[in-house]
Amino acid sequence: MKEVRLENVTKSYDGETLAIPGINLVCARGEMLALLGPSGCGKSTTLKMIAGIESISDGAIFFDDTDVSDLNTASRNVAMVFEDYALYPHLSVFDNIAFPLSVRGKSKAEITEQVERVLKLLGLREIAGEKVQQLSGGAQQRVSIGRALVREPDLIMFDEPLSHLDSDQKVQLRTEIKRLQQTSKLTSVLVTHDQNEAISMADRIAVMDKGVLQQVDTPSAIYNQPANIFVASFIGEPPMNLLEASYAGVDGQPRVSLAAGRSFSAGEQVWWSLTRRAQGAGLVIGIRPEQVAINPPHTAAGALLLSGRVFAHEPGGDSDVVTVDTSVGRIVAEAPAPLMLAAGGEVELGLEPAHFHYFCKNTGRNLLLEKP
Amino acid sequence: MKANSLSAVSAQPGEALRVEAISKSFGEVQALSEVSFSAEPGEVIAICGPSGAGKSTLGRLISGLDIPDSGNIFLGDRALAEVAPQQRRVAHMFESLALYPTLDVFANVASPLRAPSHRGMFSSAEISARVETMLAMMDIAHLSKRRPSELSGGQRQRVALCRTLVQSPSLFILDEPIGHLDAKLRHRLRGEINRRQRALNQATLWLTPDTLEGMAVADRVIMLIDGKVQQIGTSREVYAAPASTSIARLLGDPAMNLIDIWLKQEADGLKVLCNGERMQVGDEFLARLKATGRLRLTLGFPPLHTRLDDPAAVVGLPGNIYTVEPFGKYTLVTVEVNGVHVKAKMPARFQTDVASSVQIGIPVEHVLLFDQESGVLIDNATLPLHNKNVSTPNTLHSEA
Repeated sequence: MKEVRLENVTKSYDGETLAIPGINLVCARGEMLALLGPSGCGKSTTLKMIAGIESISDGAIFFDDTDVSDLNTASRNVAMVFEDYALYPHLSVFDNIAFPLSVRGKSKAEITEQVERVLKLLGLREIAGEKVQQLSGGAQQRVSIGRALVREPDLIMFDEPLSHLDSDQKVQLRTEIKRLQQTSKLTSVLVTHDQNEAISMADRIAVMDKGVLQQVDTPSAIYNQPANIFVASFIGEPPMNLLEASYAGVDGQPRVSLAAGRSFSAGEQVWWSLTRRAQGAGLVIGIRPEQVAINPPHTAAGALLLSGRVFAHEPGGDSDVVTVDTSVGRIVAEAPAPLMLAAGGEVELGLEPAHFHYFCKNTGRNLLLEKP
Repeated sequence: MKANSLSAVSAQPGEALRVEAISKSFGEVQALSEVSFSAEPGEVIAICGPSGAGKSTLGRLISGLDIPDSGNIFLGDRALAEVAPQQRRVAHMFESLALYPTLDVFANVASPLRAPSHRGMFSSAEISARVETMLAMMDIAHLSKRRPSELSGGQRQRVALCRTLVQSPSLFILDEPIGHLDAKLRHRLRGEINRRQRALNQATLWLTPDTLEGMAVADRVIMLIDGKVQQIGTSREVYAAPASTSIARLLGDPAMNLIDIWLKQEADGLKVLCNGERMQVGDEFLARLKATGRLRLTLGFPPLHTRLDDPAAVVGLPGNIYTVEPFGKYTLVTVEVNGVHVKAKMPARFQTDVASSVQIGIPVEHVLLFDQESGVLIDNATLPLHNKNVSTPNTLHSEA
């Protein structure tokens, strides 16, 4: 397998506007890189350009040191796994997986050996003789992955591989792909609109919006240190709470003010960033719902207590989600189920500044990640 | 104006929906078998099930787009079999959306209010007010002059949702209303739609394959699998005590662990085997298994309460780490026991190496017992419904 590198790749469909204004991205050998973003963010275009299905307008794409920009799909040795499996329904599991080898004129012995290896790897040996149309969606997608693996490609592209599956099969196949990735060290690019799929399977995630890369990092860095407001609110379910605020040093005591005259002193570790970047400027405070305490029995020093009224209470499985109207705005909290709260009831929320994210209101950037 | 038009809706008397033993087949395929349930005025009912379960067919039979082979549907005191579809006063949002391509967003949303079924109900000013309120709620007020072809999939879905919710029918049917939207919008809208629908006097059927979504929005959840109603209950009831393993598989993220066990008499006493692996069980738990009178059972227990290498766990099973998925707020660990997978939702900071061996701790207080052959729930004696404090869950919080 090979390293894939995009250097200043742009894409324009009409010769005037840039759908992709210039992307630099590396998928390291043995890594699964996810392209994640809302519909229309450019992730599918990027995938198609890497695969050679779509031409690039400028820049270059390398597989290791080879410039593949002008090579067509067939010459790039890229295998695709599609959301609708794209199998031959009347052929058996074995014959579907053998297909790329037989069209390349491999010997029967070689085909059998290669297909057996893949069947074993994917746990498909027991159903090798069955016609794929009789299989569940999850099993069909495993066959499709087998067909991609058998030709020993330089790169595997997963295009929304789980989106047609029911939830139980989705979770199951997600784990299987993750396992395959961890044990076989495939170089692969995953395109998905579903953050759970990207977070669970990928080694690194490239979050895209409007054709532009917003952040490329490990799943935990994306969750815990989002680069900007877009990433912060796109990743996480329920989404991060965002509250407008302002910052000012008052008598040497740095304070952050929320709506309705509520203010708190920002933790010492963020003083430097805030003083340097946000003096007098608009701030947006980000708070993850699972870090909002509901009716806290005791609160840490410096915590912010807000009373409010329950707007909605949604039971979940492991946790419940409560939306509360407070003087500083509507706040969503998540806590282990079951919560005994009813819409319209009074509730107190505890917020700890140590858990806050600070963004610049104008640029959207995470102020704490800005380096001098 | 807005307040007036909204109060006009809630003042309208509510009608209950009663579905009595309806069946429908398409050729050889039995889409629905003897489906019965009722929905009270103002109630939000989620109809959940995997794709192909019959959810959309059920919606189509109620709104009159298809005719049941047998059974009856009543809305208030009207038997719907005798009422033409356009007279049924059912506002139906289709999964396929079915927008008018030549009308702009505003006209699409206003179209049912201008149709004969609503004739004379609203003045043109009231129509505008209702449409604008709805567009604002769905964040698409700025798109009101666009045609459907100029919108993204998520925007089109919101137009269809507006066009359904703007009506004042006797019943709402929403077929996968928020499926194509991003997480942020989905969370906001499901709360707002739910709150709005509950304030009305009309019942709402919310059809979705996403059981967690159904649980979040509904007063009661109906589990529809293979065309049959398998369970009806509140979210809490269904989640705590799924009536069968096929329902349990659809609940939670991820769903509860389900492992098959076999009680086997060996030379040194009655032993519990899981796929050939001997399971460590305390006397109390063994007694509970014996009390079922069955030798083959399926144990169900939630990943959130599944322990790894916890010396306090009395019921255990040895396995190997299969995968580690680090979600932001928790880490999902899959453990393999002779080909069977068990999932544990661990704290975000949890770390382990793939392939290392581990002892799974099964949370006795949270175990449900199912008959292995039929999949039916047989014992929920220690149901943690009202007493969740018997064991603390593995934390959900990411710890900075």
